[in-house]
Amino acid sequence: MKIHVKIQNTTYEVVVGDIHARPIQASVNGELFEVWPEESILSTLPQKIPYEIGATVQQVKIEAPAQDPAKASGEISAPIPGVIVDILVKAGDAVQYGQELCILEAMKMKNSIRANREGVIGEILVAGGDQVGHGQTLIRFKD
Amino acid sequence: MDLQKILSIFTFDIGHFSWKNIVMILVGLILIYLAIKKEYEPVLLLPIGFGCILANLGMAATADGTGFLSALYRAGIQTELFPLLIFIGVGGMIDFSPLLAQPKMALLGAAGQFGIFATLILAILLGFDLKQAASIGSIGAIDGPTAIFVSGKLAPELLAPIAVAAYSYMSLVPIIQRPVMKLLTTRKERLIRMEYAPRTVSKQALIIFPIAVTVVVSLIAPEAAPLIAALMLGNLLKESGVVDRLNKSAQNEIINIATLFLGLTIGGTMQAESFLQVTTLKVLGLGLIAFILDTVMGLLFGKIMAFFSGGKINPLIGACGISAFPMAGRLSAKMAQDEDFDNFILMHAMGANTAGQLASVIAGGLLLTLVNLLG
Repeated sequence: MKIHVKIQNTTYEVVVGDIHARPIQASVNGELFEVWPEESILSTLPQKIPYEIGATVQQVKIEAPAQDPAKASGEISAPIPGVIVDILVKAGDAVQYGQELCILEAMKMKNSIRANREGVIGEILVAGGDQVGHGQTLIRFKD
Repeated sequence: MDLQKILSIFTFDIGHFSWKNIVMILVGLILIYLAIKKEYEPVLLLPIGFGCILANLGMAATADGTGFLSALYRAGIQTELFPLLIFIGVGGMIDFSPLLAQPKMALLGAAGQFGIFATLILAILLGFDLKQAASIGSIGAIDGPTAIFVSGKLAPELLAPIAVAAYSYMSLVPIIQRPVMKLLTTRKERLIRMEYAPRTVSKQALIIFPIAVTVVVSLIAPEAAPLIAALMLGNLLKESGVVDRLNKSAQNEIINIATLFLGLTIGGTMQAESFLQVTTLKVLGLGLIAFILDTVMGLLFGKIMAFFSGGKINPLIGACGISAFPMAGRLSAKMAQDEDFDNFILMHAMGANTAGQLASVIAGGLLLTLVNLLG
């Protein structure tokens, strides 16, 4: 859905994607944001969603769910065993929190492995088609 | 020569063709539409829909009829052969290692069968006899072959609506389960992370498991023995690692041929006179209730396990104790990820889901035993 939000005499064109998806994809004047709304907003104010989301975007870029600081370390490891079917980033890419890094297929289901922090990709330790074990390091950040 | 006479040479007995047949042909078209357009279990709904059209054009599948659908009916439905052949293929698709690594998931599989027995009681209250009620309850196994196996034995007259309910609801797992799962769990519960710390499952264990299950289940639930034996044979073909050709045939040619004939024949039993009845609606309604009750019970059990584990078990995995392998497992995993992309409960969900698959078959056997005892 497309809406216009006016904040302090500036009009923003906000396009909100599927509001049932997490994160919600929204673009503000063409710039893409991923939004994690609080559930209470969705359940109590369904008709005001667009405006609430518009406002949230102004304050925080991406609101993370319960984040495990220990996990947001220098590397991304395989959460479950499976096969890497696709790698979506390469060394040197700057990635955002929540960005899809690679696809791990397990039990015939494709799972998105996403960045649990912002940063620059340092090294990719696997290739498409690789069988990976639980906890195996897939990607290292530069910093 | 009058027109009527000429027509009668080229068409079947037009006197038996009524508006009811037209309605049923429309039902067949709707099933085909759902298969093609919505991709609801197309490998089953498409042949069922086509068989339904044939049934109402004078080619019905009956126990004493002539024609190819009747021949298939006697060969594969009356003998229970088709669901068993399908199970050999399904067995090859199941990976029991998540369950063997986390045996406590078996509890969720057991909880997910509650709907079967609750629906049986509801059906009796609605006036169905015990055999019919048990057959309707088997929809709660959320497993097509099991439901067909049970109802083919107990109430063949209800086979068509039961098969249609079982397969169409199975394809509606995300639509039926998701709201129930949202309603019964809090966001905090859905955010529970489950660390995947499996015990390693040895190859020996994976080979011994299907053989041991076959022996044990055949002894404790003999009525379920053929289903479990077929399922476990398929699994053994895969896990043994030495009969790749047989394994591939079971998972492709055998299951595909059996599925095509099963769907077509079930559709062939959807004659207007027997299908266009209030009973059919009752069966469809009760089947949906069975599905929802299974999900509710699985979730509640998941919540109990979450409580006693001190918040280490995500109750979403309770919903895949219903069977509907692997759709229910994927849905649980997906719903946890919808809340937190870094939360992977897929292996736990699949453990509960395979447990549900096994428990469904055993519950189907218990239904047959129950009817034998009481009937």
